Amino acid sequence: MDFFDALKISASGLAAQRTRLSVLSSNLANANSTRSADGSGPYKRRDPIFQEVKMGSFDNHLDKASKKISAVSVRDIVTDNTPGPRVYDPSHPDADKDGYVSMPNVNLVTELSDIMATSRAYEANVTAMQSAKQMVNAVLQIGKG
Amino acid sequence: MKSDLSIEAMSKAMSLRLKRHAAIAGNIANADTPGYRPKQIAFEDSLQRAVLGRSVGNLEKVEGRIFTIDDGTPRPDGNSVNMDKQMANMTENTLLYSATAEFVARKLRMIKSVM
Amino acid sequence: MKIGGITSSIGEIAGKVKLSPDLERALKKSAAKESEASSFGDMLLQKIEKVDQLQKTADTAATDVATGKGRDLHEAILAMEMADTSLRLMVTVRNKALEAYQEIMKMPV
Repeated sequence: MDFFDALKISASGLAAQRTRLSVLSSNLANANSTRSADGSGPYKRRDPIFQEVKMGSFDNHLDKASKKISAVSVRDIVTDNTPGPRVYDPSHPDADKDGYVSMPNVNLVTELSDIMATSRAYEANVTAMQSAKQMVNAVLQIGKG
Repeated sequence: MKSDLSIEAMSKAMSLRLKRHAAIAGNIANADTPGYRPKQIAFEDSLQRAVLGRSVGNLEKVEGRIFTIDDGTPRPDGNSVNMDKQMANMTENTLLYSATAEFVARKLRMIKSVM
Repeated sequence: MKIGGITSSIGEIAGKVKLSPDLERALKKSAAKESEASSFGDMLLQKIEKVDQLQKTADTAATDVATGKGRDLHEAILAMEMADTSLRLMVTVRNKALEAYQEIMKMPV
């Protein structure tokens, strides 16, 4: 296991968190979209699903122990099908025959706190990368002076 | 040269700490993965034993042992990573890696200074 | 300053700093042997042995930190510095002795 493998692991974390941020931002932006892109009803929020990816699966020069160390990837982005709240507003263009509008199942507070958590997780992966760089710098000092 | 043993031992320690860093980086990257449990590399005991054995051959055979350890009670999605614990582990590991590199650097400088 | 004076100053400085029992024992061992020099040759050998002892101590301290046995970084750094200083001192003494020898050899008889 060398530095580049370790950097790859942190990079995968950064990529996954970035994807998660996109999905959450999209949810937030569509918090009031009563009509989804395919016209089949209100916007439904989406969730990224992370999965573990063992290093052994893309690098065969690793030793047995190192193969079990994992990076991360986004396996899928699934749609959350829980129905959203129904609001009484007969004057709304998307109101049904009873005057109710189906709103998206996006909870602003949940999405915002998830976004903050994503941001912190992203920072943690950045710190991991910086630690790796620190170690490389320490090695490069050997033999100097 | 007797001093070969200490430089060899420190070099080996650095390789093992690098592996440990990768494991911790993996834990941090998977801090939100459902069902993921943190991994750790153990090497201190076997390394210390190899150093006491005083042979470079023994040193080369030391490999880190990977094992799974929960940071605490798993959350509802099965993930048991505690970010703070992992960050603390990473800080300690990086510090000891850098210190070891510094020791090797000083030792070599000292040897060079008398040539 | 005599050779003995410099190396015992190193010992003094070491004495003022709080060190682990192992390190102290190693230093005391090498200091105890100093008092028995009977000739210049003997004294030289003692000094060389002391330098070697300090080297070994530094090696052990550094390896201990590296393998996670002890966590005293300051002790390892200190031990390395003492080993380095005593080694450089020995080299300087050797150089001076060589210079002196060559000076003497140059003298017309």
